[in-house]
Amino acid sequence: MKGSWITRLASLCYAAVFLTLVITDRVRLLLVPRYIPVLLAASALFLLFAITGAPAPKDGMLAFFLPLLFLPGIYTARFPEASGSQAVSIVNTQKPTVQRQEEGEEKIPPEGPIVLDQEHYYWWYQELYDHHEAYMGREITVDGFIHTGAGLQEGQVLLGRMLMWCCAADVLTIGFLIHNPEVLPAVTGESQWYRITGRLTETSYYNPSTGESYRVPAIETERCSPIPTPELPWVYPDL
Amino acid sequence: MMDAANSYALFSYILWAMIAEALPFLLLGSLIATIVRYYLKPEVIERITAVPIFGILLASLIGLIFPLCECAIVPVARSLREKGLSPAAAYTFMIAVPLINPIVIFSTAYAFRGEAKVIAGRFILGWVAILIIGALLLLLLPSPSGEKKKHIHHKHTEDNHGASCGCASCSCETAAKEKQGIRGFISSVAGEFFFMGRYFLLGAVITSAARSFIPMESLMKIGRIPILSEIIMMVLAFLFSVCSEADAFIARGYLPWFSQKAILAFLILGPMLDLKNTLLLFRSFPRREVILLIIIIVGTVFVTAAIA
Repeated sequence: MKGSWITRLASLCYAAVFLTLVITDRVRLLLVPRYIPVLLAASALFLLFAITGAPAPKDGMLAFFLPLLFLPGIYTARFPEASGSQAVSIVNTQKPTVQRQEEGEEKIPPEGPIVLDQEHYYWWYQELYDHHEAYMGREITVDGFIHTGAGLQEGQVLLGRMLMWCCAADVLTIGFLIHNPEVLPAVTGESQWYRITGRLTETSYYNPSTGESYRVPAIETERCSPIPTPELPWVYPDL
Repeated sequence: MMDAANSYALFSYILWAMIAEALPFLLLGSLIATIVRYYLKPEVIERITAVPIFGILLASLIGLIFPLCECAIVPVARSLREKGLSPAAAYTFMIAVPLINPIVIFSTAYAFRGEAKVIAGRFILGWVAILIIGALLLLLLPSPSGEKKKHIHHKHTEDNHGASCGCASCSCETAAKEKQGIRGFISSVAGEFFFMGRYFLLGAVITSAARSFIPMESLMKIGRIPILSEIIMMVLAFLFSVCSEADAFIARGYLPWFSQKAILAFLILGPMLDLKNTLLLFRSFPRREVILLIIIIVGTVFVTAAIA
């Protein structure tokens, strides 16, 4: 079939790239885990294309190989947090419409320190924003990077995490405002990660869209130590 | 300011995230488009859309039971068009399905919980805008008839012989050959995918550059200026090409910095028109029609959001 060698080659390349992403677990830096089966199905289809072949269009096949030039970028570097249009942060001012989470294994423990680990981050973050008054004064430990960029007002500092809804092209910075930012170390140009332990308090956040000020949870920092960037820097909502 | 290494990393991540997320859906769209070409009889479309305005109405709501994202919808719209669906109904279908569908309704309701105006605005005003666009297209793009309608597919088969339509009137040998067996069917799906994929990937490269380098911080400073705010968000919706399943969460982040009308313009325009798919549109449909479609979409969404 005329021209089919190039479509077979492109199919093999994309099957190999997708399978490698899954096997090396690099895919979790690009997509939410629920898409992994979809990617595997796409790989299978590409392998079928490689077997059956397909006629190549007259021109433009180079477009299939151009993105391969940028593949090393995701294997050799980490995602630069708070860069480009990804840097927009969101301070949650939504009105809570969900029931306060009940006590249980996956819920915030009724007493003792609150440790926002990777597994619980998003749901506990939501709960703390919705019902922070119920947790005032509790000790809290959170990992994240210091964010002062787009989406925040002058002087506000957020201990941020990148929240991925579908893929790395649609991430947002979420997190907790720091009530006493003056105790934090000076932020360098690079996105340094910190583990902050402190007490849960609240602060005022002005939303220029509604013209209203909101009381939102914040952390009164007691201890702050630099930590290495985790292998998986994202938070997934896992809806 | 990012250094070169960070820029390369950010661009690479965004590009491959878009490819890994969207290419499987383009494959799905190619698969459905091929099924339509092989098995859907033109008479069925003619019967359903006998009353043109009913065709527009149906196309505007079919996403509720046939949810597809904007990455998958172009090949399907193209195959329906080749099967005889009128241009107005095909374009209405193409812009409506990624917006008026249960997945997008759920994600928007979740992202904007407590913001009923935005949720209702996106779907009610979005649906009204779709109907207006459909009606305008009905007036401006007459449905082809007779031989012209039967052979509209020849525009693409010149370029993409493998993705032949398979209709009874098609004299192309490849179509007949490929209709034989599963191997031929898969080859047709692949042909459709490679025809569409090259433009999609070029669009993804350009979109990734926009996502990586547009300084959002500067735009936020002027995001509260009336009219300008809407225009900025419409341009961002086009350039960022965010999947309609996720765009509500992105828009939620912009809410404090842009007017509600601007947010609505972003939420309504994004699923209808984006940079990632524009090259695809120009290669799939007549250039004059695509230009007209873009003008009508942009104008209607702008006015709809402005009066919201």
